[in-house]
Amino acid sequence: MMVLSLLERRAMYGYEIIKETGALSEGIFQFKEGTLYPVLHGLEAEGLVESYWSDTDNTRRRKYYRLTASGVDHLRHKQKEWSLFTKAVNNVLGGASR
Amino acid sequence: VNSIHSIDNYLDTVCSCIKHREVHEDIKQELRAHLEDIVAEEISSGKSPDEALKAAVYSMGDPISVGSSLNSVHKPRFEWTIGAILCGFLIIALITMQSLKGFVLFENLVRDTIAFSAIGIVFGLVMYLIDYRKLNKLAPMLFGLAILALMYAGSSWPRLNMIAAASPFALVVVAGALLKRHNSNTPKDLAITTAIIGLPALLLQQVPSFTAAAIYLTATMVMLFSLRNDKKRFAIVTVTVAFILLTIVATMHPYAFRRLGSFLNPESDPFGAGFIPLRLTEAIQLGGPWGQRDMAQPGFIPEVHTDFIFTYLIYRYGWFTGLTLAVFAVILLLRLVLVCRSVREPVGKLICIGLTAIFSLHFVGNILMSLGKGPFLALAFPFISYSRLLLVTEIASLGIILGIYRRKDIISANEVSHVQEA
Repeated sequence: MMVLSLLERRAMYGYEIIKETGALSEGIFQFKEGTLYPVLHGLEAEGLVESYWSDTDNTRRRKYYRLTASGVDHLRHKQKEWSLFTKAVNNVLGGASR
Repeated sequence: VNSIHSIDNYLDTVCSCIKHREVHEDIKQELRAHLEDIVAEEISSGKSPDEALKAAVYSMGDPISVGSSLNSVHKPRFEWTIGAILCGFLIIALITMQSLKGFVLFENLVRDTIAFSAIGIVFGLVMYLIDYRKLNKLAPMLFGLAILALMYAGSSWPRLNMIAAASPFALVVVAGALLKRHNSNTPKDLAITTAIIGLPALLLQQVPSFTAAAIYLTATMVMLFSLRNDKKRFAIVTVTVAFILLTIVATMHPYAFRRLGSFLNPESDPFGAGFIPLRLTEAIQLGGPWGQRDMAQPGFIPEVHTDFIFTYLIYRYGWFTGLTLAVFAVILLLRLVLVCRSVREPVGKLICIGLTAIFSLHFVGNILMSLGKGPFLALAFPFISYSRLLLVTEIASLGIILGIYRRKDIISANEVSHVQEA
């Protein structure tokens, strides 16, 4: 879900995704970077993201990923679930501290 | 991790865990770019190349665990339902041919069915294992050869009907690659698209095989439609193709028309065009739910072992058997549609769509015709009707489809330059 919402903003390649996640989460989400690729390839197999090679930025050819239409739908669904969940947790926590 | 002494070494270790070799190159390139990015960053922050490499490998993680999770994503896929239904159909074909022993002279039905099923399976396996993308380069040449062959076929080949019936399958596979290549709105590509769709249809009509021409035309139009072109392009091609279709119809013999429409009102001409539809209806009534097992003289059904095999099966084994076969056909077609939807690589998708369209036309057209409820066409019941070349072609076509499905999660990275959406 995190990968999907990052890709919603713009198409990115693997290393870029790692950097963004690290920067946005202020270093809290640290994981072995190699594990990102099975995730990306799995999302692609499900048709939620699509990939393309590009070398227009500089000399190195990179594989970019972007969200597909069904990827956007899936993300909306997940976001809704997540906000319901966090709301419920917050309510419980708020109720307990009262 | 300590034993990793170069990027190549790391990548080889990752790929050694991935069984499907066709994905290796892609994954290596992608991971190499990532590793080189880290190394470059570490070096610019003052590390030695050796330390930088160590840092890169460390943050990437254990190559074996990366490799094995990539392996589970990129497992080759096999569509078991389609494979099982194919086997089922081949067995039914064999039983059917065995039951026809003595009714059809001049052909050794059982021997041929076994032999050509085996040849078909070999061809199908080859098609399944070969990467269909190799076809892209060969497509223009193959298309040219097919056109030449069809032009030559006009008068000189024996067994022409068989070749004509099998040719839409082969043509559609080649047309898939070509339609994708010329998928644009330039006048040149519009002309080529029209030629890809129209030319083989015209030539097939010259063979003469109206059925093959109609099937090819329908299948390629479905493919064109699936490309989701803009309406203008679709309209231009449609108008041109419609014009070709009119030419085909204009050159048809008047009797062919009457035969095509004979199912609508067979009683009006019971000994001419309506003769066969009436015989088919009669055979089906005689068959009843469980069939005429003792009285097995199907002589009054024409072409009992080829195009009207479905009528024969109902006559001999009852409409319950016919219904079962029809259900199998529907399941197969539904699975094929699912395959079409799940493949994302455009050429493979087009080929699947074209072949699925052909199979659908065959099943639906043959069943309607066999029941005396559809136009009279040279349409075989796939896999069951006796036709050696067609049997091989049909099995090989399923092989191609299964091969495309097998690679569907591997092939997707398009060679597109990065368009920045600001």
